[in-house]
Amino acid sequence: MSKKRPPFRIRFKYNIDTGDVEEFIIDDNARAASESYHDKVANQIASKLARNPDVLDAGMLRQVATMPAHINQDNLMEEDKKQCLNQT
Amino acid sequence: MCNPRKVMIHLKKCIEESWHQTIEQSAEISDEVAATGQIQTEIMLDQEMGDVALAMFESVMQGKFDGFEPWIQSDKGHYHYDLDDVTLTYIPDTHQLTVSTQISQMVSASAKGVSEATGVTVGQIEAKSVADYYDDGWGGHTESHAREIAQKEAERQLQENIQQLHQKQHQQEIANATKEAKQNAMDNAKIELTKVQDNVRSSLHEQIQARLSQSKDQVFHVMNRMIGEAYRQTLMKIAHMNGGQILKNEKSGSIIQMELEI
Repeated sequence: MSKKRPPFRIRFKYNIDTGDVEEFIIDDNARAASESYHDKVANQIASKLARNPDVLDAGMLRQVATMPAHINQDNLMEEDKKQCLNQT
Repeated sequence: MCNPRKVMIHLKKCIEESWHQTIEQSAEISDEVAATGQIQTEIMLDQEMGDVALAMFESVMQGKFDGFEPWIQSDKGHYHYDLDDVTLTYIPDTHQLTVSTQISQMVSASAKGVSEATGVTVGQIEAKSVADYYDDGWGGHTESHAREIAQKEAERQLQENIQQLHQKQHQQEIANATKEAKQNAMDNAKIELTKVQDNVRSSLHEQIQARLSQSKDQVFHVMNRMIGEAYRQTLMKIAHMNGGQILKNEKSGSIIQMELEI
C-alpha cells in the first residue's frame, strides 16, 4: 500500500494592471523530501498555468514558480508525476 | 409723304468658311478611401500559458464565467472583440492575438475637359433690318442715320445667322466634341482624385497608427483581466480535480489572490 502524501498548499497572486504573477508558491509539506521531489511537485502544478515555469527553492516556503521561464524537464519521472497530482 | 419713313437694308451672303468651336465640360467623381492597419501584440499566449490555462482562457473568451462577455466567433473559429476603435482577434490554433483597426473616408474631385469641334460651313444666308426716319430730320432721325442703324442691325443679324448655320451644319461634330470633352473631364477628375486619395491615405495611416498606439494600454488591460481569470479558474479546477479545497479566492481591485490545498 502506498503511503498517502501530505497535502500541497498553493499560494497565487496575480496583478491585472501589470499582468505579473506576483506570487506563486507551492508548498508540498514534505520537509524530509529531496530537492528533486520539491522541484517535480512545483513543476507539475505550475505547468498547468505556465508554459515553462521557472522553479526556485523558496526555503521554508518551499518552491516558488515564476512565469514564464525555461527549465529542463527531461529528468522528470512520469511515475512521480502521477503520484504528485491528478491530471486535469 | 407720310412720316415717319422707313429704310430697309437687306443683306445676302454666300459663305464657305472653316469653323471651329472650343467646347468645355466639367466632371466630378467620388470614391471611398479605406486604410487598414494592424499590429501583432507581444502577447504570444502559448509562450506564456500552460495548456490547461490556455484552454481555460478560451472558455473565458466564450463568456462561460461571470463578468466576462463572450467574444464573437467567426466561421473560421477565430474570436473577435470590438474595443472602441480597434478590434481584437484571437486565433486559437496559433494562440496569437491581433489588434486591428480600419478607417475610411469619402473623397471627391472635380476637373474640366475641353475639345475642339471643327468643320467647313457652306451656304447662303440673309438678314433684313428696317429703321425709321423723318424727311425733315426731326429729332435727329435723318435718312442717313436710319440707314446706318439698319445696316448695323442687318450685319448683326447676318453674323447671328452665320453662327446658327454653323451650329446646324455641325451638330454631329459638336456632339462628338462634347462627348470627348466630357471624357477628358472625367479622365482629369480621376487623376485629381488619385492625388487626393494619396494625400488622404497617408493621413489615414497616421490616424491608424495613433489609434493602435492609444489602444495599447486598454488592450493589455482586457487581456490581463482575462488571463487572470483563466489562471484563477485553472487553479479552481486543479483543486476540484484533486479533491482539494480553496482556502482563499479574492479579487480586490486589480489583484487576484488565491490559496488552495490539494
